[in-house]
Amino acid sequence: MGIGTQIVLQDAVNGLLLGGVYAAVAVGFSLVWGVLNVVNLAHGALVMLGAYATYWFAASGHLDPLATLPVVGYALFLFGYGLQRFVINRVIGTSFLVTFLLTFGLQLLITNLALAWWTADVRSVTTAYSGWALTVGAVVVPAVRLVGAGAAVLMAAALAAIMRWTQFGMAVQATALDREAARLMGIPVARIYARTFALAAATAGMAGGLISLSFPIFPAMGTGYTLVAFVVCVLGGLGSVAGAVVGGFLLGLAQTFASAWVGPNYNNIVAFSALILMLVVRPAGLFGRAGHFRG
Amino acid sequence: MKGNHRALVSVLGTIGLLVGLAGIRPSAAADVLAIGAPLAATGADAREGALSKQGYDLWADTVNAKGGIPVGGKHYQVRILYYDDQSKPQISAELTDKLISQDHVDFLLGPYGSPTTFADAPIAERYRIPMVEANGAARKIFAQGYRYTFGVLSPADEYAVSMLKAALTFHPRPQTVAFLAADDLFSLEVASAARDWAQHHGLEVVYFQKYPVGTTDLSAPLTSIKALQPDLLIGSGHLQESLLIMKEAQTLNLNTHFFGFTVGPTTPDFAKALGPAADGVFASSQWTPDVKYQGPVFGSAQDYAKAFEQKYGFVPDYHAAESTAAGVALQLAIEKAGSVDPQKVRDALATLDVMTFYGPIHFTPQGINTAKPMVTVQIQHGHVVTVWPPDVASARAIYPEPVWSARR
Amino acid sequence: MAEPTAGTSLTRAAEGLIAIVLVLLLAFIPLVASTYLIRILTGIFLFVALASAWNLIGGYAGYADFGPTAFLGIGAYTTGILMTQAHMPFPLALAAGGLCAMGAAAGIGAVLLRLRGHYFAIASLGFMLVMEQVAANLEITGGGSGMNLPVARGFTPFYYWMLTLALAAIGTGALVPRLRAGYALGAIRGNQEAAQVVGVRPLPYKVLAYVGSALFFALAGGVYAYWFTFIDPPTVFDPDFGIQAIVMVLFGGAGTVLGPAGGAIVLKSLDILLTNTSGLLHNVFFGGLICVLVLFAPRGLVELLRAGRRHLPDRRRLQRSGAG
Repeated sequence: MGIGTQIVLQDAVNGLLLGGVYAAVAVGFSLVWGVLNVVNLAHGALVMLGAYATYWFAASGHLDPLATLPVVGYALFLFGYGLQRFVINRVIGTSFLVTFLLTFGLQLLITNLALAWWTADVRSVTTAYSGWALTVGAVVVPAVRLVGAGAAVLMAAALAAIMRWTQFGMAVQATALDREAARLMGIPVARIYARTFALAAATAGMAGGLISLSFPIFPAMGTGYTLVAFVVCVLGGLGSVAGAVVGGFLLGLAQTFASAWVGPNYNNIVAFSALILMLVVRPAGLFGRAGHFRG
Repeated sequence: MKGNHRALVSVLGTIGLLVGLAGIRPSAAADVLAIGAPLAATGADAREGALSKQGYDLWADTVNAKGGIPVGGKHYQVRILYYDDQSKPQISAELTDKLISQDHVDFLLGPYGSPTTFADAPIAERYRIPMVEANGAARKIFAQGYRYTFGVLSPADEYAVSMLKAALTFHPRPQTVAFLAADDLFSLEVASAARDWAQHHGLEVVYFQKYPVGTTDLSAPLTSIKALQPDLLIGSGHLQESLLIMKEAQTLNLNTHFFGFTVGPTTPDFAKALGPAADGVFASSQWTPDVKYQGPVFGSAQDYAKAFEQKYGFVPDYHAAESTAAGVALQLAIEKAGSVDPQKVRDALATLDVMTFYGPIHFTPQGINTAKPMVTVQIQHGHVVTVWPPDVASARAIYPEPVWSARR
Repeated sequence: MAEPTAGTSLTRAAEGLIAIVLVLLLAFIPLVASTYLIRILTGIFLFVALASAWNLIGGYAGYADFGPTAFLGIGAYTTGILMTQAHMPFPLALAAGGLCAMGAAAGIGAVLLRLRGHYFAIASLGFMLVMEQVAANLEITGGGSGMNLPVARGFTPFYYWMLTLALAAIGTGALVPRLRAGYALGAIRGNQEAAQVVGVRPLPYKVLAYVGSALFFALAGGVYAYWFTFIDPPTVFDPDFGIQAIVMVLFGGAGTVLGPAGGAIVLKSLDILLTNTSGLLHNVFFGGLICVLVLFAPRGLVELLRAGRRHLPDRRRLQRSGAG
């Protein structure tokens, strides 16, 4: 196997693993957008909170990050529930600029409170298995990232299962299709919204926990992930969990290969040119249902 | 119509309020020197800005504890007035203007970072207030013909070059080097200077790439670098990226004989965050506690380190030390001038030639201190030790660095 | 709509007189004020111009552009390149920067303005991020190291440049509703499909609004570049410019003539006060302010003052007439 092929294969593996992270972040974002029609600009901040929670468990309690993942998820679930029920719910249904700005303000608040409280120190979660890697031929597959990508797919699958096979899930789908009709049918819309948002926040928090294993964390890290989530949702299609996963992997691959072939300084050009292209050619994304997207 | 008038009145009222507040001047206490410092407390440079502030504060506290700066029979206490410039050059410039024209500071201490220093220098120049800075190393700042900005730190082109100089003294002699640089003024200056130096000294540059500041993934460049198997890997960027490169190099099993970074390994965060993975990493430093310099105010480098550790609880890295040195340089210039007149102090700074705990301070006509060499350090067993130049080294360098499987 | 009263023409004349006196006052200030005050007023005028400009696309057309700073950057770099490479005098380079941005806006606008709501917002933001990286990767811009413009003689001329821009932007905002384009935009904002039914072709008018906004952002960018002498991609493509402009328009009242300007003055002044007093919590306050504003006064301060405190905005009313 030539060096060239080795590099390409390794880049492909890296791209997929990065895509796993992207998918984990995007799944919750897509859910909130598709159901509540809210573009949550504070989503990245929730990821950051999850990363820090994991870090504090590991640093002060010496608890393994993977073990504390469900706890972090639950904590973010509660936080997200409160956020939606008492703050965001007040602007549901108003112009999208209003919800956009509200979530932006929340993002600013959360990020800067984190900065004030935890300082700008860059932190990292290091475990005994941080450096483990599977070596398949000449290709190295970092164990932690593999677990992260796997967890992302699991989370997405669990979410899809909830949506399809539980009563809650059906209520959510009904509300997404037609809010007023759902309300008339007796579905407690406000509660459904709150629980959906909370679920999304939980996935964001867990994604943050997985991120803290592989990447350095700092209070301002959220914005980058929100943007990524946005691009992934457009690529993969709104309202589709599979879309978020596939979109995530696609973006991860595209960025990694662009970084390898053109240079790392082109990552935004790649991501957003892809986004604009997709919006022009197929606005519904790969898996989304076509709707009133064109102007 | 009435509503419009109400809106107009409230807007005018705000303008009036602002004008009024702008006119308020704080009364200056007698025998106190007000020194302005627009320093990043938030934004991209928040972490480094905090370290610099500690350096400035240690100087101010020490000087005041000793009775102040003696000037012609009087003793002046120093008071540093800080504003957060949010790591943004335009805000830093605004704040510098405010410090001079509103707060009437007597002198300025520099902000953190090259772009902000670059933005503040013309303001200091216009008002003819000397600014002694310690955290903006780009040569470009000193190529503008400014006469009121003085940098106590070694310039950017020295950062990576000093690591290469150190590496060439090791055996077996390294042949190839790869560069990864953040895409900003300072990091690019560092990397370009190092590349030129490498090419003139028989080191083959096998890879040179820039990446966006604050990038979250570098696995693709690292994969390419791994295939090239360079002897040296030099990273010119910031703390977060040096951490990222080490973490990703570990997971990709990228081994080189020499991982070297210009910013990162000397901060307490680095070794803490990486644990055993940090061992063996090289870095360039403006200063370490091992250097054998001695001077007034703080004594030796070791004395300084002890004083810092007593106040803040950890060993200082060069960000703090160079910031303190800026204060010391200003102080010594004032003492030398025997006056607090800005022009006389500026002239004293221009001809200053002293030895301090930080090293020799002597400015070129452009205003940068090229008298002090940089040192190369290495993390050994979780501690930062000086390994080059030989006359200040406190330990032998471990070269080649241990491979990943050996770092436990 | 207020019924015309007997004193309308008198009130109109009075308002005109107040405006002229105000402008004369502002023109006079640099002769007596400190350089610091001149500097912050210049900054305020910058945001008055940006907010009034954004109002064209975000307020009148109802399209929330989240990447207007793309054009600020284009204007800044064009002006800079022409001044350093072609040795053009500043006013010429500035005008060229404006034209360049208008062309770019027409081109990308024709593509992006077919999108709606969230999609347009993120696509416009994406365009800005792309432009930022393009600037970082080109040689002619100095790349990531940034670019140095020639050093200007003094700081005061920029006060007048920004003041002129601010007045021009407000003037444009006052003019648009009286033109055919203004009526068309209003129809498009209200209900685009209905507008199409009555024969209004949306895209050309939307592009017009977008180009108008881009022009002012670019001119502001050119002045900014010469003012600060050193520019680099993160500084002139900083999303903050756009976000602040949006919040100022929201605060002052989107779609009104003086609302954006008022919002800019009040918020920028607050911003300066906060920066000077509490560095670390400055952004916390700003974030909190945005949340409070959005929750309790989404129609803006002008609306609130007009209607009185007891008449807080009705969510359902916003739903029917809101953008998106």
